[in-house]
This record gives sequence, structure tokens and C-alpha cells, in this order.
Amino acid sequence: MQYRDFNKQKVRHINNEPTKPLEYVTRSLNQFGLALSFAKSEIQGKNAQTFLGYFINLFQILIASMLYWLIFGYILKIDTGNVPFPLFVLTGLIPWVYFSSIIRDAGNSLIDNKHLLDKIYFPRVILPMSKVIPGLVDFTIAMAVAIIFVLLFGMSIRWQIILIPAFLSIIILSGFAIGLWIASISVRYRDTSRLIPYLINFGFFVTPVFYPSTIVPDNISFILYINPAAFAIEGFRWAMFGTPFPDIYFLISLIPVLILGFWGWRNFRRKEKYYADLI
Amino acid sequence: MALNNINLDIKQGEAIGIIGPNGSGKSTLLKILSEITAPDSGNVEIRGKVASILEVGTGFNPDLSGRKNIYLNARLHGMKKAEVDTKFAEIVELFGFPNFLDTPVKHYSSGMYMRLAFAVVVHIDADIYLLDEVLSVGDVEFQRKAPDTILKLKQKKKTVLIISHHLSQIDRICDKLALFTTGKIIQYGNPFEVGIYYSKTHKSKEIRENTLNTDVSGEIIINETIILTIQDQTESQEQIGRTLSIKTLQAEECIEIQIVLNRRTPSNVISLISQKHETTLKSGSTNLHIQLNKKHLLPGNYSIDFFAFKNGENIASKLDLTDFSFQTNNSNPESQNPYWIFQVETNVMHINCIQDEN
Repeated sequence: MQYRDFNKQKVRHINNEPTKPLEYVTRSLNQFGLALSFAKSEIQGKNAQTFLGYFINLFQILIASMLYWLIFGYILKIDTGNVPFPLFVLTGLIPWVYFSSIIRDAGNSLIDNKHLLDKIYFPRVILPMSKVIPGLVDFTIAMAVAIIFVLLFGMSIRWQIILIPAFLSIIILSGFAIGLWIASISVRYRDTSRLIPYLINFGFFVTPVFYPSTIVPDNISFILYINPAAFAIEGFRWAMFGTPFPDIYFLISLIPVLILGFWGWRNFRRKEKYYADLI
Repeated sequence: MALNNINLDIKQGEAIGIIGPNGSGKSTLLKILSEITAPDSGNVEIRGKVASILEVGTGFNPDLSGRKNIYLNARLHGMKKAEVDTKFAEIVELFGFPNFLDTPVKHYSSGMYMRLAFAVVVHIDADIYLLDEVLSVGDVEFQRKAPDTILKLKQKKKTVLIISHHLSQIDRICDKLALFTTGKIIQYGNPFEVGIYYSKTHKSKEIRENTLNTDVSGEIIINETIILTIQDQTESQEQIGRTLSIKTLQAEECIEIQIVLNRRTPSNVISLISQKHETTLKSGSTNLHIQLNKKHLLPGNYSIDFFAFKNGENIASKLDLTDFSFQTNNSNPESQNPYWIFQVETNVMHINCIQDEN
């Protein structure tokens, strides 16, 4: 029988020093399959014993779209140009719901999986990473239905629709960056899980989900500049309906978000050895 | 501080048992070795891949089937899908319930759940296995299988660190035992010697606790109504006798008294449990004579536990009340079902004992 000789293997050191940046990146990427496994099991587990299954998210979005259409489109009569209001709000809600679910789920991922942190080692950043994926399934289903609605409303599909993944990646990247940072401080300050809903609620109103960014007066339009979802959602509508391309200066919002994400990643790298004790 | 000044050098293929009372830092050590938590100071050098099973069933998704959980759990311990595919049949065999593979694990009994988790865990391909109390789960059949599984790992020259309170299991598996007390290793080496040392120190701690509530007159207050005193100790060639004085404040009728005789070996305790003896205790002192015939007993260390019941409810108990040891060359006790004399004042009764091994 062949034995693996331990002496031929590289020595690993366990101590209280932070993991080196490069080592942490390789460790995390090596375990990317684990993030996929977590995501897969979450998707399957979430849909077990449900009636609507994969369509629950779509159902919620459609109900919300009808409600917003009634309030903002029919009663308050917000002008959305040549895009019918229901389509306008639907294409805003789909990316927004995905964006906010990443922030919420990634932000709570450590607290929700306390039992895992306590009993097994893996790079902790895998947990927030895994939370990005389930929403992507919901997003794809909702997007497919949105395209059907576009056709039902008698509009044509523009070729620019193939650029949607570019805007989607902004949604994913910025949502993950914010969620990662929240997760890294949630270990110590448990209030985050209660504050996230407020943050998302507030974000909904400063994001052009149910209004076009053009109706925002110039003197307060800076709010949209600090909101990465604003650029992405306006971009979605440009790709789908040919509304004006979002102001490129909106991309400034990515700077604070990426700083936040880097800060969160650094927290994970330096402090994750203590997460099991702290949480 | 949970751990202090731990220096261990563990080689490939060694199995180390970690024993010690609760809260002595055993689990903390495994948590540090598995990188769940970091030491405040010091350094660990590890060669080889570590699989840590600090809790059986960590990371199971209750809504998913056993089959899916096997893959999920294996992935959590760093195993790729292709590896699981090749070992799937073995995992299922150790699990032992192939018919339940497609049932969500939330419908499993807790024993089945444990077995599934354990089956996955021992098939992880690692070099070093850290196991915390995983042998004590499951039914009798499983408990018989589990040590063999670990012995197989040893044959493959894997290193195993295992925490257990089941001395009888680990002194068979392990090459060395480490005894932890308040964050320090106080004994390290030959499993039998460390095991005996642990049994002795552990026992003397209980005796210390007993002496805590013994006042100057040697009375052991076991609750507000019953006070025990060890009156007399006799030992002859054939017999060992103990007399206990039971002092009650008021007369107690229909009290049932039960005595348990424990024989301690390094790895376990064999108890002889007397039948319950119903009696009436008058107020004041009643003497309880216990007489053991050596020819019925194996030589060794013994202790006596006292229990009193009223209407079937345990109203007083005291463990390790009095202890004694004796040596004879009597390696074959005369009777497989020994009886000993158990006497309350003058009502002499012969009581057959029920043997209970735990």
C-alpha cells in the first residue's frame, strides 16, 4: 500500500498573524466550488415544500409592479416617456430586487451561519460570495418574463439587450461589495441585521426604479451619483427601450462602493481567524 | 485562558487520544488545529491536509435528501464531486440505510443523521483527522463499527487526534493519550497509564467533593432530612464490611434503599446494583450494614453509591460514598450472579445483584 509521506508536504503555520493578501485570494478561489455548493443547496432547500418554487420571486415582483403602477403611474402620473409604466417599473424592480437581495443575504451571511463558523474552517468570504448566486437564478427567470411582457406590449427587442450583462455585473459587484463590508462588521455589531432593511428601503427611493432619473432636479441629483444601482438600472432601460443612456458620471458611485468592498475584504483577510470567537 | 503552554509533537500515523474533564481545553485545541480560531500566541506547524469533525452533521441542509447532503457535506470538507462519486457506495454502506437516501434528512432519526454524517466524514481524503466526541453517537452496532473505521485510517498511516470520554474505546485505538486539565497537558504517553491516572484523579475529585459537606463528626449531609455517617469498616480474609449510619430527623416509612457497588478499571466502571430494599427508618439513627463476600468479586477498586427512594422517587443519593480496594488471586469469581448481604439493622436480606456495565 502506498502511503502519502507527510514530510514531503509543505508546512503550514497556524498562528494569530493575518493571512497574506495573495494567499487569501488563492485560498478563496480554491474554495469557489464550495460557494457554488452552498448556493446550490440553498436554492434547492429554499424551493423545497413550496407552491410557487422558482417563481416566488417573479410573483412578488409582478405584484409590486402592479402596485407601483397603480400609485405612481395611474394616481401620481409619473411621466416615463414612450415606455409604458408597467414595463418601466418592472425593468427597474428586477435589478433592484436582485441588488438588494445580495446586500441583505451577503450582509447577514455570517450571522445566519454561525453554527458553521463555529465548527468548520473555510475562507469565511465564501459565505457572502455564495449569496450572490441564488438571486441570479431569480433574476434570469424574471428577466425572461420581462422580455415576454415587452413583446406583449407590442415593443420590439433591441440588439443592445446583449449589453445587459455589463450592467448586471455592476449590480453584482456593487451589491457584493456593500454586503461584504456589512458582513465583516456584523461579526461585532449585530445591529447590522436590523439596519439592513432600513438601508434597502431608503435605497429604493433614491434609485430610479419607479421614476426616470431625468425628472430629478439638478440640485439634488448628487444622490444618484452615490448610488451604483442608479447607473445600472438606467442602463437596463437604455438597453431594453432605448431611453437616454445614463449619465456616465453616475459611475463615480462605484468609487465609494469599491472602497467599501476592499475594506470588507481586508477585514475578512485580517480578522476572520477571530470570527468564530466573536460571533 | 483556555489553553496554555501546549507542546506536542505528533508524527504521521499516530493516533492521539485527548481526555480530560469538561472545560479543560480539549475542543479549543482542535479548533486551533483546524483554524477555526487562532491562538493568542504560539505557532502550530502542520504538514498535510486536515479534516476536522468537531460536530457530526455540521452543514447539513435538513430540506435536502441524504444523497444531496452527502455531496454537500463532502464538499464542505474539501472533497470534489468526482471523489465522492468513487466513494459513494462505501459511504452508503457505512451509513447503512440505502432506502432512505432520497428522503430529506429532516425526516431522519437523530441516529441515522449521525451515521450519515459520520459515514461522509471518514471517507474524506485527508492526512490528519481531528475528531471531537464522534464515537459516542449512534446505536450499539454503529459504536462497534466506528472504532474499526478509525483503526483503518491508522493502517493507512493517517494521523488521528480524537477527543473522547469513552476511555474503553480510545485506549484501544490510540497510541498515546493526552490528559488535559484546566488548559494544560498534565499527562502524556502510554494510554493505559494515563487512563488509570485519569480515573484515579477524577475519582479523588469526587471524594474531595464529598468531604466538602462532611462536618467534623464525619457526617455526610445528603439532604435536609437524611444524614449519613460511615460508622465502621471491617475487612477480613473473606469479607469486607461497611456500616453506614442513616440519621433522619423524623421517622420515614416505606423507604426503599438501594446500594450500588462499582468496580473501577482504567477504562470503565462495572456496577453491581442491588434490588431496592424496603424498610422503615425510625427517627434518629439507623445502621445499615453492607457485607461483601470476596469470593464473589474480582479484585480491584470498589466504591459504593447510596440511593433512597420514597414512592418510587429518588429522595436522596450519594455517589462514591465509601471506597476500598482489595487484592486476591481470585481471578474467577465463584458466582456469575453474585449476591451480597445487605442488612438494615436486624432485618437481614440477601440481595441478588443485577450486573450493569457502562
